[in-house]
Order: sequence, then C-alpha cells, then structure tokens
Amino acid sequence: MDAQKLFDDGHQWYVFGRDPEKPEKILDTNQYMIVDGKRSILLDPGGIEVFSTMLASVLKYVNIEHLTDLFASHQDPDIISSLGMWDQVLPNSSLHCSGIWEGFIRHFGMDNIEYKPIDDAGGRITLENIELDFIPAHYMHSSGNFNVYDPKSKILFSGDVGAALEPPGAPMFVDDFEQHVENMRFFHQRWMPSNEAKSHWIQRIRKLDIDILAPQHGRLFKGPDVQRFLDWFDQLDVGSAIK
Amino acid sequence: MPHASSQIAAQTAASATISGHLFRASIIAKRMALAAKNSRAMVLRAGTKAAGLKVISDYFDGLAGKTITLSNIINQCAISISRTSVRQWRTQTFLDRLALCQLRLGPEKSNMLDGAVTHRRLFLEEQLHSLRSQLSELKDQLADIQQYMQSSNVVAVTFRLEATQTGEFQSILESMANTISQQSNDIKAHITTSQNKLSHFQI
Ligand SMILES: [Fe+2]
Ligand SMILES: [Fe+2]
Repeated sequence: MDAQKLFDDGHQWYVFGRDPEKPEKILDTNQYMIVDGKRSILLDPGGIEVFSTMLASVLKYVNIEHLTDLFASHQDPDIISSLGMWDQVLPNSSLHCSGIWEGFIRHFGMDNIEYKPIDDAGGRITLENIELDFIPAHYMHSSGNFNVYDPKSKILFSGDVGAALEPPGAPMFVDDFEQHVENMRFFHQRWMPSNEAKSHWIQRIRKLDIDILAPQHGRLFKGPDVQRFLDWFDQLDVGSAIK
Repeated sequence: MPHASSQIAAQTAASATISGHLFRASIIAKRMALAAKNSRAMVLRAGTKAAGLKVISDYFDGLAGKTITLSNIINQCAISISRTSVRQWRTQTFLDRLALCQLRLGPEKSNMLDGAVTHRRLFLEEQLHSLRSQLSELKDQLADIQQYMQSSNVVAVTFRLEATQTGEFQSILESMANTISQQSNDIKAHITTSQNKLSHFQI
C-alpha cells in the first residue's frame, strides 16, 4: 500500500491507498492518518479486506498505543467494516461518527472501542495540540455524514465528496482537472442524492481556507484545483437515478 | 493455532444446524404431548377394558413432557455453542489478519503486536474451554433424548399389544400407538442428525 506524507509541520498527515494487494473487485479507497505527538487519528480506516495492510502501514509511522482515535465519515462498508478488527487491536480507542449510525455500525463488531457520537451540528476534537473540526456534510452522500477540517494544515478530508472511479495505480493528486472530471461525473451524479444538500455543503466549504481537498476515493485536489472542483460540482445536477 | 478459520466456520454452521433440528424436535414433542393427552382420554373412556393401558399412557404423558423440556434446553445450549463459535471465529480471523500484518511489518516492528496476539490467544483459549464443556453437555443431553425415544417406542409396542384387549377401542388405540412410534422416530432422526453434526467439532 502506498503511503504519502501530505503535511509535516508540528503534526503530520498521511494518506494510504493504491493497495496493489487488495482483491481486484474491491473499490480502491484512501485512508488518512493525522499524527499529533502521542495521539493519532485514522480517518475512514477502510474495509475488512484492507485491514492487515492498513495496520502494517500505519505502524510504520506510529506506535500502536499512540493510535487513539478513529473517525468514520459515515457507515459504509468501505469506510468502517474493519471495525471488528480494530476493536481487538485498539481496545482503548474511540470512534467518532454521526450519532445516528451507532446502532448500525455496531453490527461490524465493537466490544471495546468507545463510540463517541457526533452531533448533527458538527463537533471538534483536540488531539495533543491540534484541533480538528467535524464539518457537517449530511446527505453527501450519507444521511449522517461528516468531513474533517484541519485549520492548521488547511486540509479538508471530504469523504465521498470529490471521489473518482479510476483504474488501479492512478496518481495521488489531480494533474489535469479537465481530464479528471470524467472520472468523477458518474460518481457524483449517482451517489449524491440532493442538489439542495450539495449547495448547502458548497456554501459551507467555500468559507474554509483549503490547500488540499482529500477524498476517500481517487485523487486529491491541491491549490487552485480545490476551487475548480467546487465550481464544477456547483453546476452539476445530482440525484440522477430518479431523473 | 489450534483452529483454522474454516474449521471454526464449519462449527458455527454445525451448531446452528443442531439448534434448528432441536427446535423441530421440540415441535414434534409438543404434538407428542397432545397425543399422550388424547390417549389418556381414550383410555379413560374405554374404562375397565383398558385398565392396563392407564399406567402406560400416564408414563407416556410424563415422557412427552420431559422431552419438550429437554429439547428446549438443548436448543438453548446449541444456540450458546453457536454464539461461542462465532466469537471464536471472529477472534481467529483477527489473529490470521494480524499474522499477515506482522509478516509485512518485519522482525523489528512486528513485536509491537505481540501484546494483542497474546491477549486474543488467551481469549481464544477461554472460548475453547467453554466450548468444550458446552459440547460435552450437549452430547449427554442428546443421548438422554435418544433414551427417551427408545422408551417411547417401547410404550408404543406395549400400547398396541394391550389395545387388542379393548374391543371396539382397538383400532383407534392402535392408530394412536402408530402415531406415538412415528413421532418418536421423527424425533430420533433429528437427534441422530444432530449427533452426526457434533463430529464437526474437533476440539
Ligand atoms: Fe459512501
Ligand atoms: Fe466511499
């Protein structure tokens, strides 16, 4: 599994993905880790099939006892079906996720980890020094859905928003936005259910100062590509299955 | 590791299957209890002609009651075995994935996971221990039910013999005896299948 450091100034951001060992029919996912001294959080730790690789990858950068928090943007299997495994390897950690999903997510198996529900209005977590904001992104696509914004590194983890479906081995960052649009169109039209929710989300996100927009699938957006993405998404009609 | 995941998966399926068979056996046992009540009423109506049958039908009634109770207990026992198996299965899956991860981490870093491995292995041992005792309990209980069914077949034979003395009641009492032996055989079949399923457990 590829790992790249996205930010390193007092605290670190890593992205893991493009796993060549994952079974072929499994959708490729990006997992993120933020390390702040002796506390680290995994964002969307992934499905059960990538668990072994993920664990081995993160332990290259942190000690296991410093992996204190997990975050799930929503309840999907590609996000958090590995929970039953993390639960056994990190018995003292906490999982942050929308409060509406607790009873559902526990079906993945959770005997030890503490569930910390995030309120619909959003929330905030302090690691050792840094603060991270849980930004509401409901119906984008899940009905209880959050992004994570780090004001210091100016990275927004956007979950399924900004996702692209691409052949394996694609680069980590968007290099040609116009070309990349075709990898994103179907995903957003089909998985995003509501134009209203979309406009709401864009308004909220435009107020943030963002250097990198980091989705859970496909490539990351950097610099001017962040605005390009927001503009493109703004004019896209979504909820295509009922049209 | 004493168990491969596939072995544990087979156990989980086997105990769930046993639980299903015992559920069906308990339904037959309920019908059997009803048949016992009917035979008793019939024996009373036949009066002195069927005096010898009274004792047998009382005994049969008691047997049916015990069968219902025991099959319910066994059903519960099989469910808890299935639950233990699932827990064992999940732990084993976890350990398998952890072993893979240790391989990837290499010798310097893999010892970071030793604590988790030891802890979960211990848990697995505990699960195995309770599985062992649950299984031996189940084995005994299944044998008990088989014994009951042996007795109820004897009841059916005696019933049929005694019925020949009862004149106009003979045919109806005979058909009751047939029902009893049919139901006993049906229960026996479920128990035999369950006993065979137990052979999936290699602990
Ligand atoms: Fe999703
Ligand atoms: Fe996803």
